[in-house]
Amino acid sequence: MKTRFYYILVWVIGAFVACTPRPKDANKVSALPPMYPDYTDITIPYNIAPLNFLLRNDADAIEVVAQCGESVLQINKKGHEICFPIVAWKKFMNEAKGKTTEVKVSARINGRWLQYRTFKWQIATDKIDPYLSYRLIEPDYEVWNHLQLIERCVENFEEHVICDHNLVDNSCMNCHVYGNQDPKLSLFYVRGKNGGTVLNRNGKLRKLNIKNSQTISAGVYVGFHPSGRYGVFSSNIIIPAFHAVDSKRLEVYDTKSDVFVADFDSNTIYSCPQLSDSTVLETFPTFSPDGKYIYFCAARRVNLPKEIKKLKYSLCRISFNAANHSFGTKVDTIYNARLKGHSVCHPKVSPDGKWLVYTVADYGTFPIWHREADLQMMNLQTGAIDRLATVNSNRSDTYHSWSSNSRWFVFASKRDDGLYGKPYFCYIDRAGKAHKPFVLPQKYPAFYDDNLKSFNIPELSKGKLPFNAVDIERLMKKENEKFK
Amino acid sequence: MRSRLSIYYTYGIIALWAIACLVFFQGFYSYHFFYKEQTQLFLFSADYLNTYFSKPAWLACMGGDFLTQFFYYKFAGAAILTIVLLLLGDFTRRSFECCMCGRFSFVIALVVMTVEAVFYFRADFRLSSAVALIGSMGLFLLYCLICKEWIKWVVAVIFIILAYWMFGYGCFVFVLLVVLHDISQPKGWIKLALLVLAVGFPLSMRAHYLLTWQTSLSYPGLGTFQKPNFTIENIFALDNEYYFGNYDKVLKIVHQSDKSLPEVSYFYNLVQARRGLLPDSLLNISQQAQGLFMKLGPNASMIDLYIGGEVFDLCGDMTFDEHSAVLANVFSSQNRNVRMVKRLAEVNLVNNDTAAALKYLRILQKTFVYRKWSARRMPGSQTPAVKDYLQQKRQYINRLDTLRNAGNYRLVLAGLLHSNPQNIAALDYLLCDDLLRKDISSFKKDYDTFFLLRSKRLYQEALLIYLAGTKAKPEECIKYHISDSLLKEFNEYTAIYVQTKGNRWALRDKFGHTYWYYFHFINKR
Repeated sequence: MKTRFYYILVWVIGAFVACTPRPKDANKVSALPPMYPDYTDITIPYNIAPLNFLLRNDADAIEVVAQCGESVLQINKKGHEICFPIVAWKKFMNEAKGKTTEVKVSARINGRWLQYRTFKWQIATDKIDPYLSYRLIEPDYEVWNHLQLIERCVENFEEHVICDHNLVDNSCMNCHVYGNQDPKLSLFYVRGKNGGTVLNRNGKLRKLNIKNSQTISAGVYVGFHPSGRYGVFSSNIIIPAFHAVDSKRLEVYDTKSDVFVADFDSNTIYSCPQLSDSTVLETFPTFSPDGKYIYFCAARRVNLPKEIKKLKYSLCRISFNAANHSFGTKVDTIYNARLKGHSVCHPKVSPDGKWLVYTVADYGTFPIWHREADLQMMNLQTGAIDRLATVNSNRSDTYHSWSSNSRWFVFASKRDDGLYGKPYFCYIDRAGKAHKPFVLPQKYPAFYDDNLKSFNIPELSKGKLPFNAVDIERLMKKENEKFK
Repeated sequence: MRSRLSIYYTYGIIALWAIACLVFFQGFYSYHFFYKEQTQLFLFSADYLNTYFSKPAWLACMGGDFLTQFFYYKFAGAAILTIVLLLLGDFTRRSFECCMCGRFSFVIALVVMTVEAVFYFRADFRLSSAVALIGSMGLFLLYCLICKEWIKWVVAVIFIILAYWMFGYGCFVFVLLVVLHDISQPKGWIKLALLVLAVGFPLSMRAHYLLTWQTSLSYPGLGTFQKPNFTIENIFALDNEYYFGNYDKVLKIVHQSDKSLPEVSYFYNLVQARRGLLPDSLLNISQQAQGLFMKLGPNASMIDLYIGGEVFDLCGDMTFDEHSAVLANVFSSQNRNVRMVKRLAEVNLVNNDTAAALKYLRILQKTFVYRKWSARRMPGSQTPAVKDYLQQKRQYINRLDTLRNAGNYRLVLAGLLHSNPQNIAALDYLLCDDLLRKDISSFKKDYDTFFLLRSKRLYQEALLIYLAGTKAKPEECIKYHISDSLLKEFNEYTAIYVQTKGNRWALRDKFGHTYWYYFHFINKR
């Protein structure tokens, strides 16, 4: 009986192997495989999930061989999609850590095998923070329905919902941001009747109304002080408007905006005239990793929307003393929009304090639909600016977030279709050189083709959040804590 | 003999019921099916099918949506619904026969079928509900095959969990049938335990499926009793015929409709503008005081969002065409709407944004119905007809960049006219919109800016109001080519108006279709 079972098993396995297509007399071609997502010649962290992909041609069988010294990862599949088995992938990544892998892709098209030019994967020893949070929203941003905040593990394909539309009365929710890439320090807003600012600090959830009589609105853009006690917020009166020509679509501008600091211990708001000048629009605040400075963007007010193209934000910095929550008297201009001719958005300093990455666009404060919007990286010790040519595309490349080891950052790019933002990861090596970025891998290679939502404000974190969507549902039933 | 007669009666009643269902839904309610099909998007892709598992009732929803995609074809909607309801009736009859209700099973089946049919009067009610019922009854019929008692109870527990996973609220139907089936047997506590499980399991899965407790117990959605809504059916008919280019039929439906509905005048205006006859026919039907556009935004009804983009498509504003398509998409079931995905593909093709167009065309290639439609539009393999269509649309697109707020349609149309003064649809929409809102000074400004010697009586009537109001000199009338006969008519109207102290009845017969009459008496603020 047992012998018969093994006989059948061997027969079944043999039949399966015999059916798996393998290249025969493959023609070598000089072109790279037409793979989507583009995972050719990239640097990846060893802890990343399998880079599943598809070929944009009529392939009915594929072979992929990734080789790094003695280690080989080979997969043969029918169809035009490749999904790596996660266990084999992890094993291979651990063996190839710190090395360069050659990847050979062959495809069968109309009965003939083609072997494409090999490409390389550089497997970095620097790990990327394993969790990524983002908001899923249609790329119109003016309206919403069925919003979700998601936390995804980038080491595999697991995701869980942080906040779900069903459980918060289909309210609008804004993006989730971390402090120090720490899962026990984060914040997001739920708008609407029972809404408020959700603060996750030391694993405890609070619902805050961060607004007083002086602030012009509730908080919008936010950055945490490294101590976790303070948050720096912008308050903005935001106006959406539509471009008449095809590519830019939506423009959002502020008619008023200020920056303030909120103390989460005493529920107090602090500000200073330099951050709330009525003739200046201040926004996108963030603390330096040592907490001694607040970086923010500022622009002189112009006649809007007529003079929108004259609205250019400089990158500024003001000192902050956490001991007595006082501000410096002098504002330093780090990037002068008037001289450089561009507008700066979303500045963020790397956790090691060496680099400052920000978005530059021709004008305005909403670069998401600006094709020319690119990331730039400033060396904070020398002031030298890297235009990140290997990182940017001819579509909008914007909002970024650092990994806790300062070796990786994630950013939102519309490079594939110009419409839907996707999270791309970029490696910064020890010499400060940026490597070609790659998109967040998905379980199904066709995911991005079918998906009709943008990944908004991607943020990296060292660990899994200590709460879920049901906790937020419960929290929303509580009263807001007020600020003075 | 009696039993054979009774079988004949049974089949006769079922046949009559099926014919009535088919005739009603095909003859009087068929446009609802097209709407249901257009406001969903079913893809043959592993990634898409996997999304069904994020909620309970995956099999019911997948099955329902799979069948709904065929509602696109004429007669398919009514036929599919009738077959599904007959299947539901048959499963109901068999289930109740197993529950020792043999005598009433036929009547119960008829009632269930009829109730379910009534639920389909609602435009947003989905076929998944009937599939959920059929599936859960199917599980019950399987359960009835088991003879050993202890196995039955174990299977019942497993089937409750399976029923919720695959058929959502169908698990309650399953449990109720089990209780009914075994009502005569002892061990009532087991039946009670099963009932508790049927309620407790969905509630315990609430956090997993991210549903409110009400939705977790009623997924994929319970029906509501309502009368057939022929007003909405009429709007769907207008939309459908307009979509397929049957403009004469649109006008025919308009004349048979309640003209006070904004959607009716909206389609009427679209057809007339398409034919260049908007100013000639504007006042032939009841018009809305707020103008020629549907109010779009998060608070608009789904139907208005669904149809609201047509005017931008006609006039050539691709930004607002795209924006309204995204709006309708966002508020559709599962945020997916095949009509809007097609529109988004076309908008981006018109804009020559190949990468964006490919995004949507690739999605449509994964559908059963629109695969060929997509193939004909694929960059590089477009048919001559598609190329001509796109070329024609490209003539009218905006070339000057301005910033416009969502509700500022005057700026939208003016922008189009600045880019292409030959855009007659945009011109007529701009001028007629001014007139319906009785904004005579804006009308005069727009007329002077964009008018292309388009001699339309409506515009001249409105100009006379402006000229009279500003006490213009007679030369002004000559400048605007206002004929003596029209001037004479205006003087006559004015004289009667003054004489009768603005008595509309004295003016209605002779001047009821003039703009002067509209200006004084219609849509009074």
